[in-house]
Amino acid sequence: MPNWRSLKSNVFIVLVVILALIAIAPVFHIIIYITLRGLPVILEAGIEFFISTPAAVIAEKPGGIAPAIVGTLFMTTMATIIAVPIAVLAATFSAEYPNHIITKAVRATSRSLLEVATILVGMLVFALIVLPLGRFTGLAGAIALAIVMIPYVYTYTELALLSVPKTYIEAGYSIGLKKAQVIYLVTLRIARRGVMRGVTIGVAKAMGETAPLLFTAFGARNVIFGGPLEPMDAIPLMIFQFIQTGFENWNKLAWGGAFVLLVLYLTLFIISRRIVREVRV
Amino acid sequence: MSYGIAVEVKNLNVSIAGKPILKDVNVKIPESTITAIMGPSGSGKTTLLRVLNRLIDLIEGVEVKGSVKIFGRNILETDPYEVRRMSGMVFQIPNPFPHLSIYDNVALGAKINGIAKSKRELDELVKWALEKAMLWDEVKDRLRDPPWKLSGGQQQRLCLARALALKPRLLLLDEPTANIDPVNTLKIEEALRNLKKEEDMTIILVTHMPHQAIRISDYIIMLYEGVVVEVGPTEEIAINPKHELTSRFLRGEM
Amino acid sequence: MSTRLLVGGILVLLVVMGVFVWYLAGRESGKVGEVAQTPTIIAGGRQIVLLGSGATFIYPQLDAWAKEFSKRYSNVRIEYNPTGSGTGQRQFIEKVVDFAGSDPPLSKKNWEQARGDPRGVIQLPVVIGAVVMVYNIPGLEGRLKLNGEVIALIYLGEIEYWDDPRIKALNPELKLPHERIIAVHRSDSSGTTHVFTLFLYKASKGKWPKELVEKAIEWPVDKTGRGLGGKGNQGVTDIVRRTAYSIGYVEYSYAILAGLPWALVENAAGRFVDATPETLAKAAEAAYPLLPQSLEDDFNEAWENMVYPPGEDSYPITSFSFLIFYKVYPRDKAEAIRKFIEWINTEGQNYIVQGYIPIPEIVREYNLRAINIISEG
Repeated sequence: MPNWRSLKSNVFIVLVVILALIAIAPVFHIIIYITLRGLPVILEAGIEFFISTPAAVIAEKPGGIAPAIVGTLFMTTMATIIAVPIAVLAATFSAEYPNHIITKAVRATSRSLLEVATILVGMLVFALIVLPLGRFTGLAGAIALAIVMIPYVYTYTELALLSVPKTYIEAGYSIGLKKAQVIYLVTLRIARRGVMRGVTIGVAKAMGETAPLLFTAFGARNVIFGGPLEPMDAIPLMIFQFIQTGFENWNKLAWGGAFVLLVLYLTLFIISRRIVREVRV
Repeated sequence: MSYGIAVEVKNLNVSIAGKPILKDVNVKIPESTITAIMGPSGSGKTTLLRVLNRLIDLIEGVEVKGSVKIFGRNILETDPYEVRRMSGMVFQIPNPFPHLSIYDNVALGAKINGIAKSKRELDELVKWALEKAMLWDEVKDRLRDPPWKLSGGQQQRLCLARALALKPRLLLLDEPTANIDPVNTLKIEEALRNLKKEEDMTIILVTHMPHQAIRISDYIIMLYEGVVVEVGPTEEIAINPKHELTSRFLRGEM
Repeated sequence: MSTRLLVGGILVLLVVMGVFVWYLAGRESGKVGEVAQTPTIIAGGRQIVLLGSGATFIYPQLDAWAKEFSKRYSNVRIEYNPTGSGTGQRQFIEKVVDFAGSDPPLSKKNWEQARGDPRGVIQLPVVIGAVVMVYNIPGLEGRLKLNGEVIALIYLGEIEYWDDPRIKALNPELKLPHERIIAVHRSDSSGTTHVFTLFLYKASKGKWPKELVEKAIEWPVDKTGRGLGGKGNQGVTDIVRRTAYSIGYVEYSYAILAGLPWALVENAAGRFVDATPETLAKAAEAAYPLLPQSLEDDFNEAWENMVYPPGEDSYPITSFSFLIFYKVYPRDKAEAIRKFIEWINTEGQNYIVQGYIPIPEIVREYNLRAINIISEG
């Protein structure tokens, strides 16, 4: 007599495994495909790929994408430095005063920002910063990226803070800590994994964005680094602009850039897990 | 042996969101004694305890009326953070800070409140607190370990050490052994007795267990539905409870 | 504790990055060819950066020019952002760029606004573009011949099969298959579409309506289910390459790179002409008399007139692409802009990217007038 229950259970497990594999298969496909097309470009170009500017399409060798790499690193770092304190402060306030009107306003704004197309963020920064100054700057690009980042860091941080068991907060007060000290020395520290998760996701999003940079950083790539108050390149922006042309040199640079971006993501995920130790509650 | 009054509560009324929790509480607790606050669930024991270190402030919609003096100071009119530094608290479920090492758990309060001026002073303070909590021998070789490596009973003794690190004159414990095994329970009770004798500490202990109260306390306050039902020396109340509710509680019928 | 580690790590990373960048900034950029002359410094020697934005079509050519120019005048750097002609014109009006690239010239409205501004405006036709009809008919031997009317009917959905008598009439010697024609067009807004539909309007003997001359339209052939849209020239090329029995319109430079065959098209003089550098240059020469008197004038009419131009050897679907400059620049930039314009129209002609057609000499002379128009202010 077949055991129907265990049969059903096994079928279900197999089904779940298959569906899970299907769900993550595209990720592997992307990783493998980008590697197949991007890695050979880098191997062929060698160190030039990382320290040269792109060559004209009529050149023999494609040159490199140093401006894009430097720009991405610079603007992402700047955006993080701008966004994280603002978002963490806002999230701390929201977790402390969940029913305050400011909290409600902040939460609503954050949710809207998450849903809005990032090109609008770029246009906002263009109108507020680029136009009045009359120039495109890497700093404006960083600000646009920061605005994109903030809702992610805010949401995850608030969640993490609210998940800290109240008893630890009480213990903090009981040893005479003031409110700010309790938040900073106890609550935030216990929630650090969650905060880091928010920061990681925010950075990952910022690193891959093109639209906010179109009208802010501009995409200048005939110099490796002109300074924060000059137009700047970024890897996704470079890929976007190069891949639309039909020229092989530039297409190669675009694929190589995609691979570099992949490696950056990998580095980000690995580093962020190691930096912050888990807290066993 | 001191004979002053550590805690004097007069006409204390506490309500939370309009609902009265404590009604017209009047008690005097002498220095260097162990006082047990007893009563069934919902009688207001925890509330009374948390008034004493103003942790009650953290609850939304709370109203506290009356006069509470600790070592002569009206704590309802004093800065709450200062009030909390006057006492140490141990909670019902052991809650050592999970992100800090054993050493840092004890040291944090002292460091922030500027009680120890140098590393050496801090080391000595931590050692003293852990010794008083009867935990030193078990952790002295692993002070950098995280608290989850300790058993439940050890964690609670760690919490005791943390409370002692501020060198308070008043120690508040909210059913500290309710979730602890018997061996650790006895260890904690021994630690409390030693603290009273060696450090002249005033200890107020909320307990659900009548036998514990009888074992270690000098005085008993019996609460029922927010009202003080009976107050007196343990010896007298244990043998001859005046109020019917007290005797029922002592017999374990509540 | 871990916070200190985090902050320390970030600081170290920033310092390392800073050193790396500082080191790199001293290096040369990717090499193109050999430097023909020793580089010159102009206008006092300060770093001058010129920003341009606009048409994607002109980007690779302008970039090649910019890089060569910088080798010649080493303190001038030119950066171009391919955002599309419309955005380029808008940013020009907003004065956040130093020049714009645009496939059609400034719209009448934009031109009037720019003209009224103290900085003024001039427009220079700098490259010739052409739209070719690429097709994918497996097994076809010989080159397809088409005219405006037939192409219009295809995109109107009225000609359904490759062996339609109207197509056969133009190609008596070809063995055309009885297959449905898939007409590929642009899904995004584009100057290429504008030129193509303008050609259809002019050359189709009234079949193609004036209302459908635009950068982006609703294609009648879509309603029959035989239309497909591709993003960018690249998109259309990819679709035609993948789809048997399809036809599409793309910029000449893309067609060259794509390796797809394209049709001979009947010009205004009645001859079937291939798209070659010669026929395109001929079209530009034929269009030259139609250019406005002055670079400061409105170019819209001239631009429209260039599509389907006169001339026996002219390829019919050609257009100019423009660079749009101000008349007035701050001192350093004025000098740099003048030099750049001069260089493009003289030495720059040695650095033409494959697929782009250099403008004929008379048009270059025409452009060089800009040098005397640009002033400092």
